[in-house]
Amino acid sequence: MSTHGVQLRNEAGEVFFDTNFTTWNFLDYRVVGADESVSWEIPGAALMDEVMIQRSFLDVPLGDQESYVCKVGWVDTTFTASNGKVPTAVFVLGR
Amino acid sequence: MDALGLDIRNGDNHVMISSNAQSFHYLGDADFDRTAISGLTDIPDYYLAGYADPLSGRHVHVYTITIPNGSDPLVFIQPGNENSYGILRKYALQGLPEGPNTVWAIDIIQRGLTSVRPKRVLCFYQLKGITTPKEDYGMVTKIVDGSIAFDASRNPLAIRDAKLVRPPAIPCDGGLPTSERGWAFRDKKLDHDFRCDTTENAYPLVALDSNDVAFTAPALAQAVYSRRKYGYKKSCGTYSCQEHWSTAHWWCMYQSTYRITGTSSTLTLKAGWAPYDAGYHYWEKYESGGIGGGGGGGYTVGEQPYADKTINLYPSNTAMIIDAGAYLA
Repeated sequence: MSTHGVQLRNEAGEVFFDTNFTTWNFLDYRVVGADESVSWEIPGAALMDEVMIQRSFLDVPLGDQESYVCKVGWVDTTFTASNGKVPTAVFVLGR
Repeated sequence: MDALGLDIRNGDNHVMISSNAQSFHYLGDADFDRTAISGLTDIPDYYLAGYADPLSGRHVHVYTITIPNGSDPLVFIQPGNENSYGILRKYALQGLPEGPNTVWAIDIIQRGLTSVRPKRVLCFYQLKGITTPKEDYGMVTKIVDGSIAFDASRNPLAIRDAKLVRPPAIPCDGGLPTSERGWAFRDKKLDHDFRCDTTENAYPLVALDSNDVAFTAPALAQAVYSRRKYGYKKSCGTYSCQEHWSTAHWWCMYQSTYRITGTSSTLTLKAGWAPYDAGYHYWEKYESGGIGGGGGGGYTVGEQPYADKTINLYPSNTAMIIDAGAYLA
């Protein structure tokens, strides 16, 4: 373990953030509507060696329906989302 | 990208904190509201003596949290057990999504015959429109509009691990169910295992206390699969013959779910499925045989929601892992 870096502690004095352990950084959050195609820039992605995407249902009625979420792709700092039939929450991580 | 500001990197040159990125921060634990749906331990509307039709069971637990500033909640499940859970959906229950003081509902699906709620449901939010640090000590970064990106005194989100995960494409423990002809007329004997208890993919995680692990893993993938047996017979009377056709059709719809197994050094995320809905459909028809023959007719029971398929499986989705012990309720 490194003897340098950053540690942050909560009110109880417990370390909750340590550059020895924390691996992924939050970059961006966006909601893509149903049947929407969007493109947007995340400048911070240029700092990252790796990028990961998480998608989740947002305000989707439950039931026996085909709930297609959007697909997300990116090139450098330009991200695109399309082909979703339901609202999708998109989280972008990087490290 | 700004030419000034703060970037902190770890020993692997990974960016840990950046004034270009607006982090999520711990808001609090969501409150349990109710268990909205329970059951699905067998296929509805089907019974035939000697032919069991077990399913894995599922429950949908509803939680709520109030977000003060129009941010959407980022939700983590701390199971505290080895049951399988997934975040089914989030929606604004009261107020507008853009706020203020929006009450959000979070539906969490759990696989199992018995209802077992997760130990905690932790909620994080972005500090939209908040420009003042919580305390007058600690570290704060801001983005160009002056709102806070990172505030050490507000318990910022620290992601310990992230993995691209997906469950197996076919949810059934009995494998891919099939449809074929050649069965006897009125054959209603179920011969496929629609449970999903052992159909999982495993992903090793970084070492953490297994009781403190929390994950965010949306129940994004959906699947519907069915088993059909087409039956037939031809019977002849004195002067004529009748043809008889039957279809026995069992189906199950699934949502993806996830669970944590192992101890600290063997911590594993398992991506699998939970049943969401199921049914039984039976159809028969026979033609009239004319003089001396029997009458025609037919009947149906039940209905499958849509054609057999798995959706939202590719590309893989990301599961994020945190140490819930660092966020005190």
